[in-house]
Amino acid sequence: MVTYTIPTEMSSVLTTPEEGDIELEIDKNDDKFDTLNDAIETCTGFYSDAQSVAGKVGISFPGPQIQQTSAVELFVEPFSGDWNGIIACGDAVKKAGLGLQTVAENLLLGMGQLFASSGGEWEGETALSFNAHMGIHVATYQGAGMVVSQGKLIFDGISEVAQFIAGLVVELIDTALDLAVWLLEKIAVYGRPWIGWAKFVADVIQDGWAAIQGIIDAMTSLYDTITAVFDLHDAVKEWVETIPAELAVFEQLVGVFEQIPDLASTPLLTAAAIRNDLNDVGQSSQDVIDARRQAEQDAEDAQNRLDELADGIEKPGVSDDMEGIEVPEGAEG
Amino acid sequence: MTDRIQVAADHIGAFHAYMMDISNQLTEIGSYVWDNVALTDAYGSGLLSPLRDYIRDGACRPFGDALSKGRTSMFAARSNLWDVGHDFDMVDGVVSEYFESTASFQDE
Repeated sequence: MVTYTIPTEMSSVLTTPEEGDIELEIDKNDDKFDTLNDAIETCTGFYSDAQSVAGKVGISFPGPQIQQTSAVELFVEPFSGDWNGIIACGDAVKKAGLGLQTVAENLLLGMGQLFASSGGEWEGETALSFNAHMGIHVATYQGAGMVVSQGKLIFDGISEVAQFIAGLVVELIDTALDLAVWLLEKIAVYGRPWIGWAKFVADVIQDGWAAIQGIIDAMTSLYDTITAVFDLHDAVKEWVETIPAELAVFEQLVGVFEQIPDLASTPLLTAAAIRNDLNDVGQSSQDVIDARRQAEQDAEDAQNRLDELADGIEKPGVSDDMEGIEVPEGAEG
Repeated sequence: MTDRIQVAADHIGAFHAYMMDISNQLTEIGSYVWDNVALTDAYGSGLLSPLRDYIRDGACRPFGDALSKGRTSMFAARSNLWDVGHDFDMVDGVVSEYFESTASFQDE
């Protein structure tokens, strides 16, 4: 019995997806989040007490009211994700595309055996028709493979933006942490029972709000940082909603495969009397090529749009307010 | 002449079986994408988590549908090829081992 062996097995193409090596882990158990929580709570309490004390002498405290929030819920949970895993998804998509191209090559090599290695014993209209029909299969898998491989770019784009977001979050955490350490130290002076608030009143009476201007500025900066993180939440939500449109190229794959003439309802090859219209086959092949080219173009467009999004997300993520944030002298370290 | 037809029938039978292997490769690709892309936990549980559903529904499902259509088309071509091979095979009145062994399930 004659047997054909598959030249390239899928196991050699569909290997374990390679993960990235991005090191942007944010550990929610890190002590820094306890410090941030303390600072947020302290600032909230300080604002309330300062407002109360100032109110007793008929003035209002000019510092911002920081919203009570959990640092982990603010900085960590919304941005949870595995960037290296996302990169692995892209690699898997790329390998799937290579798999389809391998299918095309394997089919082509099998057809070579059928029509050449057999000594060309099968010939005639049916053979021509079958060869032409299988040629459409080969073209379809080649084209689909290229499209899918290019689909990897979409995942690369997602990963790129996700890494960018993670980088921003790390920067925001560092800024907030600097402010938190500084504020906890300064506010502690006024936090002591009775004496602290007595000093607060004395300082303000003597020097006006300038006496605690550093605290007010740092609280304002912390407030701005937290607001920037909330802005980043909104920006990420908005960006995520744009992704489905970028995946349209995968929908088009179905259309590419629909270009293969359906032999189930048209038994073209069942008899020697077959009359295959090779022109139609040729037209179908051209349709597949056109659909593939269109899909490739769409994939490229999707990548370009993601690039633009990756560039644009800096604007909502790092707001103008953020640019104004300055850590008070002595706060670092 | 009969020998040539038999050689052709043997090779058609070989390619008929080969197409089944190719179809299985498509199944492997579909499973690979589903396991490594659709079922990934990479998008976490925060703001990126909707991406998981979007990618599953917008990329993996259509990809699977496309492969399914590819397999259907290949089965149809395979079925037609079986008829051709079997017709060739029968010309000299002898059914070869391959077509005999596949006769009962060639439409699967």
